[in-house]
This record gives sequence, structure tokens and C-alpha cells, in this order.
Amino acid sequence: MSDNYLYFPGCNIPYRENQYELSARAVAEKLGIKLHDRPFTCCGLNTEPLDEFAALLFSARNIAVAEEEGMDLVALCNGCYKTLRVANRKLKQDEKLREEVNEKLRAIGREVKGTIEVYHLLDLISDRIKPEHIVKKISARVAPFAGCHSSRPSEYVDFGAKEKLEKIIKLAGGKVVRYRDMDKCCGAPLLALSEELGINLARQRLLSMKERNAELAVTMCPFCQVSLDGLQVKAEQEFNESYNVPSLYITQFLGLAMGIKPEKLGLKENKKDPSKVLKKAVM
Amino acid sequence: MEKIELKYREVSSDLVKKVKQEPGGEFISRCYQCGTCTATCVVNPFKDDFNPRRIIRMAALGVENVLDSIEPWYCAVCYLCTERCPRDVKPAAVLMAIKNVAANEGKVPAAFKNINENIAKIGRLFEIDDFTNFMREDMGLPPIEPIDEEEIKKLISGTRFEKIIKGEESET
Repeated sequence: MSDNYLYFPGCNIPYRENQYELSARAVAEKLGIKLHDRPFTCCGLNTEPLDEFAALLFSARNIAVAEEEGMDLVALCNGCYKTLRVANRKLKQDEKLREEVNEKLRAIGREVKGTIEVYHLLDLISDRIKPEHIVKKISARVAPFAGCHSSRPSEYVDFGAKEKLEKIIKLAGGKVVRYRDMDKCCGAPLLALSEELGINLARQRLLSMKERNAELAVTMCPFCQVSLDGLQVKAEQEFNESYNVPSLYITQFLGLAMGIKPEKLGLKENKKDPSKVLKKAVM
Repeated sequence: MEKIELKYREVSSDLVKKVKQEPGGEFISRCYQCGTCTATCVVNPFKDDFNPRRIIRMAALGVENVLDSIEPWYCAVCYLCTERCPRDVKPAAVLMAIKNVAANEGKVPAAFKNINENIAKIGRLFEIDDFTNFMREDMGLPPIEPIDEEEIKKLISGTRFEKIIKGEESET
């Protein structure tokens, strides 16, 4: 098991969800995962609807950078993870496609050979986390939200994200709450076209979490977090309802249980303030 | 961009061919219209004119104005339909193929075009300016380095994407 990985930030995290990266780096460091930085473009996801081949070129460009460094890629965003994972597999399996892509990459002095792997950070954490890493218990009813692209399309994306997310929540002392439609979309992908649709989908997830008396939600993707955290505040105002399910990134949640200071986890950046429930739950 | 209407004069067998040529569009003809995709869809309950079964049917029949409609663009690409489709049509991929065909003819909703204009220029969805990097530094995070814009230009040179962004789509 290598300890050195290239961190793939994607577009969303450095722009508006820096607390995910901050907490991820803190947890990774404690678990001996060394994250290295290089300039990366968008993973390609946003270009797929316009031109799938161009989208693949963006993925391939980033994969080629990782190959040059001789390190595997690790993503925090489900969207980046899925896009790079699918691209990497296609490029490894389909020689004709790889040649077509490499023809374009040569213009920028790069090439994909098929020598690296793409991981989601949750996968690496799950492999390394042990009971002795846990110094505080978070006794709360926790709704895991694994999102879509951590486990779909299952033909390409299949590392047991849901099970691993639940395993970590339990290890940290949380009580896992299962709820209606827990594997359905958070609504974030729809925000570009219709904020109303996005909020409606987010509200459905929050209502079903509330129905099961969840006290916290835990996410592993910046899109899901934007929906469950940022849109939660909006939906509470718009629908005049109260869900009261503050959402944390899994790295913030686990980080607290590992005894990492809250300021090293960026908890203040979360829109729906989790401090009240954490004050009661963290022991 | 209203609901797709079945206009027989605008039916063409070319559309199916074009969809099948796109990656992911290959299996459109397998569809036997069971509606599992629409029953599974998370968007449909909130927007009943987003109906993947219907969109796929219209495209399979060759109804050209599928390409003028905004309907396919409402797919959240969550892949639930793809997991459940009993014919392995891969409905999310078929919708993606339909969008690619439309985009190649210059039919891209503004929201999708706007975000891709950024990507074509700076390589990313959002520009990470000095202020954002200053905030990151404040948090103890390393700066996000800009991508060489020339590299992006060369990477997408000659692609359909480049033409779509420049507004030089192929006429059909």
C-alpha cells in the first residue's frame, strides 16, 4: 500500500468548500496518507453533455500528469472520482480509444500509458482507520449520504462506498440511521438549470432524514454537501420548515472523533451550524 | 423549448444513426418502453415533462425536434435508471448522446454553454483568484496554481467542443 497520492481538488472544493480539503488533509496526515499537489484542470464532468470526447481529453490530461509523477490520483469529489475512474478504465481497456486520445495529448507533450489508478479518499481512509485512532465518541443519530457517483454507474464505480461510509460512522461512535430514498440524487446537478428543482430534491432527502430523527448528516462529496448544508438553510426559509440535520463531511466527522481540533476541520465554514448537536454528542 | 411534439414531417432516420454514433448512444434501439427509467427518475416527480422513456422513444422514432428541446438537459445523470434498466439501454448515456448530437448542431442551453466557456479558457469551472487563494492560505491550504491557458487551447484544438464554444457548429 503506497502512502503517496496526488490530490485532485476539482472545481468546487477550492472555490467554495475548502473545509472539505482542510479536514481531509488533517485526517489523511494522521493516517499516514501523503497528499501531493499539481495543477489540475476540471475532471471533464462538466463538458460531457457538450462533447464526451473533449471531456475524456480533460480526464486524460489529468491522468497523464499523475502518470508523469508516478502516483495514483485521489479525489474527494464524487463527480471527479467517477469521471476520472471511468476515463482511466476506458483508456486502459480500449487501445483504439487510447491512441485517439494520445494523438491529442501529444500536442501538449503528454501521453496516457495506463499506469495509475484513481481512488476516492474514503476508500483509502477506510483501509487505514483502526479503533485506536478514535479518541472521542460522537454519540448521535447519523444519516449517511454517499451520493450517486461514489457507487454508480456500478459497471465502473464499485468500491463499496455506502458500506465504508457506514463503517466509519459506527467506528466514530455514531448510530447509523437508514432512511427513505437514501441513495437518490441530492439535487445539486440541477442547480445550473433550475434552483427550484435542486431545492425540491434536497428537501426530499432532508425530510426523510428528519422522519428518522437523524441529528446529523454525513457526506462525501462537495455537491451533496452544498445541497444538504447550503440548500438546507434556504429550504428551511422557503418552505417554512425546520429539518435540523446539520451536515458534515465524513472527514470533519471522523476528524472530530480522531481528536483533531475543530478549527483544523473548518467547521465554521458549514452553513448549517452543527455546534449545538456536536456539543451534546462529542464525548 | 417546450414539450417535444411528434411532427411527422420532421421525422428522420438520421437522428437514430447520429445518436448511435455517440459514445453511450449505442443501445437506444434495445428500448422496449417499459418505463422503468421514468418510474425510477428523481427529476420526473417534480417536472413531469422530463420523461426519459418518452425522450428515448422520440429519438428512436427520429423526431428531430428532440434536439431543439431542453428536456434531455434536465437529466441529473444520477444513473439510477441505468442501474435498473432491464434492457441495459443505459438511458442516462443515451440522453447524454442526444445532448452531444444537439450540441454539435449548436443547440446548447445557455447555462451549460456558460460554464463550459470558463473550462475552455481557464481549464476549470470557476476561476481561483488571488482572494480565494488568500483565504486558502489563511486556512493553511496551499494555493491553487493556474493552468497554462495555451495548454488548454492546444488540448481542445480541432474538437467539436472547440467549435461549440466558438459558435462554429456544423450546419445540418
